[in-house]
Amino acid sequence: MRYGATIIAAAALAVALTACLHTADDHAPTADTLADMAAATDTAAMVMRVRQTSRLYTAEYHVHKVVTHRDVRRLRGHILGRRFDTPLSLGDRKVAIPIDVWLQAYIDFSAFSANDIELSADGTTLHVWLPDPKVVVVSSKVDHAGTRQYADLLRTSYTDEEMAAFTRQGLQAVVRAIPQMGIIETARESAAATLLPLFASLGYDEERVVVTFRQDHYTERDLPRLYDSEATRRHLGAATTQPSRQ
Amino acid sequence: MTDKHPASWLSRQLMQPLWLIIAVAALIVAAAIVTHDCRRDAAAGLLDMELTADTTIDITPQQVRSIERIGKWEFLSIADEELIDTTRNRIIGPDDHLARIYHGTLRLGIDLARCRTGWLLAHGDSVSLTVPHIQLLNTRFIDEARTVAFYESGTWTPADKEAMYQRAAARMRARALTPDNRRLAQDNARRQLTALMRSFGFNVVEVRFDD
Repeated sequence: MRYGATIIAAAALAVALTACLHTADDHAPTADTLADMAAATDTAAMVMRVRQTSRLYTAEYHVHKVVTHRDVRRLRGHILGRRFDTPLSLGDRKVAIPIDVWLQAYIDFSAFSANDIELSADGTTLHVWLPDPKVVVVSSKVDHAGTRQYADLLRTSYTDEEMAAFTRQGLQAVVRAIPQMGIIETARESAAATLLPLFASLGYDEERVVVTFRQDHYTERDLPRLYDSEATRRHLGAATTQPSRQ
Repeated sequence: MTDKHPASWLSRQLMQPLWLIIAVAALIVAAAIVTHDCRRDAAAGLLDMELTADTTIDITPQQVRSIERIGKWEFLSIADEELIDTTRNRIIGPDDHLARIYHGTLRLGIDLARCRTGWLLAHGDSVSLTVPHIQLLNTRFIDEARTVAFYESGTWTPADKEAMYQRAAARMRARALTPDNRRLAQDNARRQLTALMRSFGFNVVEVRFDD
């Protein structure tokens, strides 16, 4: 009881300062809150969607990536107009998550028609226009046994939710790198290799069949166009455009 | 013996009930003033502090492990979501729970690599196709990177998460690979292949599936 008043005073001061520190984000939704809202939305939309398609998958890429994250706590803000940003020595924590992603490129035949086929006047040369190849993530897998995380004594381990968010970012990074992988070129060559024998069986000379694809060079700006639009929204959250014939 | 040290005198005084009440009241008032000032300063942009953490992953390279040329024709895709949860009972304290929502897309169709020689025969304006039976084209169909960590309490091992992944895969197979869906895929395959052959000018198209 000797220091009772001192303890009470310190507790009251701590409560006041804590309230002060949390003032700035009292009314703003935090990242955790938004994640909870997203999870709730996903749960409500848990359904099985069946869709009839006509897609010829012609190339598959297996991509491996190690997603890493280093968690450094920082105290940042401003006092009387002066900004400050300083790392805190609260301990370190790191995680490395190996993931494997399987991408496949496909030709969508659902809109293919006689308008995409042209026979020369002498009937010897067949010209076929094929839709743009598109890429989709068919599967991704986390190597749970290979995942490593390190946390100092003052820090908690990464939660399942945090690691899921990092994995999602890793997949987004893989998707963004699609234009540099050459999967579209592989898909086109493979499509030709698959379809030419088919045309030969129909009675056309393979040497006189011309298969044309619509675009030669792809950059990251073409990603929404060459990547499956639904999957793009799913993985990148970006607005996409439907492919148009050039 | 008289204690003349100022700190001891202050402590002794503070132990008096009246002084104690006054001291606590004064501290509450001071805390309220400080809190009010902090809020006012924050609103005015004079004081703003927050504890932040970088939630962005590091930039690391991706490695293409394999490239494969395939010829798989998909006629039905089934997108599924499965909520998988698990519980570990504890003798002392609350049980541990883990719930995750898995996303996957199962693709049904034909693998052209399994077509037999002479699977496509054309004669005049007729063509006959004998294709392999409808099958699951992708044995790996879960997009685990899209998994939603729905609820977690307690500590879980990689083996626990792998077991949940396998349960999700089994449940998706059971829900998607039904006779009705296979029949739907087969009907669509027949329709699409017929339309493709007609666009090449064949009027009579016959599509058969291997037994």
